[in-house]
Amino acid sequence: MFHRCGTAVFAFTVLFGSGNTSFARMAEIPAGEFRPLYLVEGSPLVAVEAFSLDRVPVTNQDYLAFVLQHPEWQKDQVPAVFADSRYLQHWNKNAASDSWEPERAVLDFPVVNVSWFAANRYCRVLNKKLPSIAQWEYVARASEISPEGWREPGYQQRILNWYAHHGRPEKNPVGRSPANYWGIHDLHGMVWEWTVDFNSALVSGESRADSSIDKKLYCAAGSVNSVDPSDYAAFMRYAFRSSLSARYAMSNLGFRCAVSGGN
Amino acid sequence: MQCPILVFGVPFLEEINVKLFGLFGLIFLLPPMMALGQSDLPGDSVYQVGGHWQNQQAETVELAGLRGKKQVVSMIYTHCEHACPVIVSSMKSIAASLPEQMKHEVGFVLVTFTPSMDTPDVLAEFARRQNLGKDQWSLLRTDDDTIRDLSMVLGVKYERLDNNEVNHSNLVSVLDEQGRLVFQESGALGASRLIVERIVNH
Repeated sequence: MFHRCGTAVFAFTVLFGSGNTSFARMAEIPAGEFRPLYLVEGSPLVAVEAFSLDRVPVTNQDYLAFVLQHPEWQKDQVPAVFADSRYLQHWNKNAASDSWEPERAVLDFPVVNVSWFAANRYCRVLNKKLPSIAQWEYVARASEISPEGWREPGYQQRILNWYAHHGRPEKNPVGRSPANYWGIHDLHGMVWEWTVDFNSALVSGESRADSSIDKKLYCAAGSVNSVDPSDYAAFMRYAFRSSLSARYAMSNLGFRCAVSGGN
Repeated sequence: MQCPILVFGVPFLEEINVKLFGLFGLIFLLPPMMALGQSDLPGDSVYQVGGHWQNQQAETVELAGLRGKKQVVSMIYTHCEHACPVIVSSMKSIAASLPEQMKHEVGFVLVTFTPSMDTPDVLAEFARRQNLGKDQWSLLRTDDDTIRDLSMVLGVKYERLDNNEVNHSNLVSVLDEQGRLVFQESGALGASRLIVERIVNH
C-alpha cells in the first residue's frame, strides 16, 4: 500500500513537476552564420536562422513524463525498427507500478539510451524539433564569454579532454556547469547529443562512396585542408555522427530540443 | 501528436480486411483475419513509420497498404539529373528481369525527397514518361518529417541543397511482404542482376 502511494506521488511529480516543456527553459539564439569545419576555405558560410534551444539536455524525469503519456515509447513497447535493444536499458521495472522507470537518484540526469526516433518524437509532441547539426554546432562554438569561444586558448583542449576521458559523464545532474555565452548548459562535458539531420553528414555526391568528404574527414590531408585544423573536437563530432544509425541507443548519447524561428 | 503506431487504428484495419477479403477471397480469409490485429505489423517493419502518404493518382495511401508483396524501394526526386535516372533504370531492369511467375509478387516504390515539387501530377507525368505502370509501381509523397523518418529507417543519407537539388545515398532496399528489410544494394545498374537473384532466392 505504501509502495503504491509512493509510486502515485512519484508519477504525479514526474507528470506535473518541472518538466522540460516550458519555453522559459529555452534560450533564444539570434541568426548568424558560420563555416562548418569540413568545408574548404572559400566555400560558402552556412546561415543559421534565429531559433530557440533547450538550456539543458532532456532529463530522465522529462522523458519519464513523456513515456507515461505515450506508453508506446516504453521500453517494452517500442517497435524494434525505432530502437535497438539498449533502449532505456538503465531504467528498471518498478514492481508496484509495473512499469519501467529510472531510479529517483538519476531523475535530473540527462536521459541516455534513447534512439533518434524516440528523441525526435519527444521533441515533436512538445511542438519542438531536434536541433539541426548547423544549429547545434553554431551554439556549441560559444565559450562562457564569447560566441566565438572556440578560438580561445584552452577551449578545444577542454572539450578534447572530455572526449578522451569519457568516463560516466551522464552521472551528473543537468545545468550545474556554467552556461555558455547563449545561456546554454552542458553542450560539452556531459553527453553526446542527437541532431535531427545527423544522417546528412558525409553526403557529398551521388554515390554511397561519398568519397570526397570522407577523405576530408578521415585522412590526415583532410585535416590540413579544413578551415581550422585546430577544431579537432568538431571534427570528432562529425565523425561520431556519421557512425550513428537512428535506432541506436547509447549510454553516452542524449538530446535536447529546439524551436525554429525563436519565440 | 501521436506515435506512428497509433496511425494503424481500427478503421484502417477494417479497410485492409476488406481489401484482403476482395483479393484473396475465401481461401485466405481466416488466416488474415487472425493475423490482423493492431500489433499485426511486425515491430521491425519499415511500415511502422506510418504517416500520411499520397500516390501518383493523388490517392491517400498508407505504407501498410504495401503489405502482401515484396517491395523494391528507393528514394529519389523527379528533377534529379544524375543518380535518380540510374536508380529508376536499375529498378526497371529488375522489374523486367523477374521470372514471369514472380512479377505479380513484387512491387516497386519510389519515394520523393522533394514533395513540394513532386506533386501527384508531376509524379504521374514521370511515371508516364518512364512507363511505370500503376499496378506495379507506387510513386509516393509525404511531408518532410515523414521523409526524414523513412530515410532513417532505411539508412538513406540525404541533404537538401540550396538549389533544390538533393544529395542522397544511391540505395535500393528490398522489403518482405510485411515491410521488413531483407537486403539493400547500390542503385547502380550493375547491381540489378544481383538484386533479382536475391529476390528470387529469398
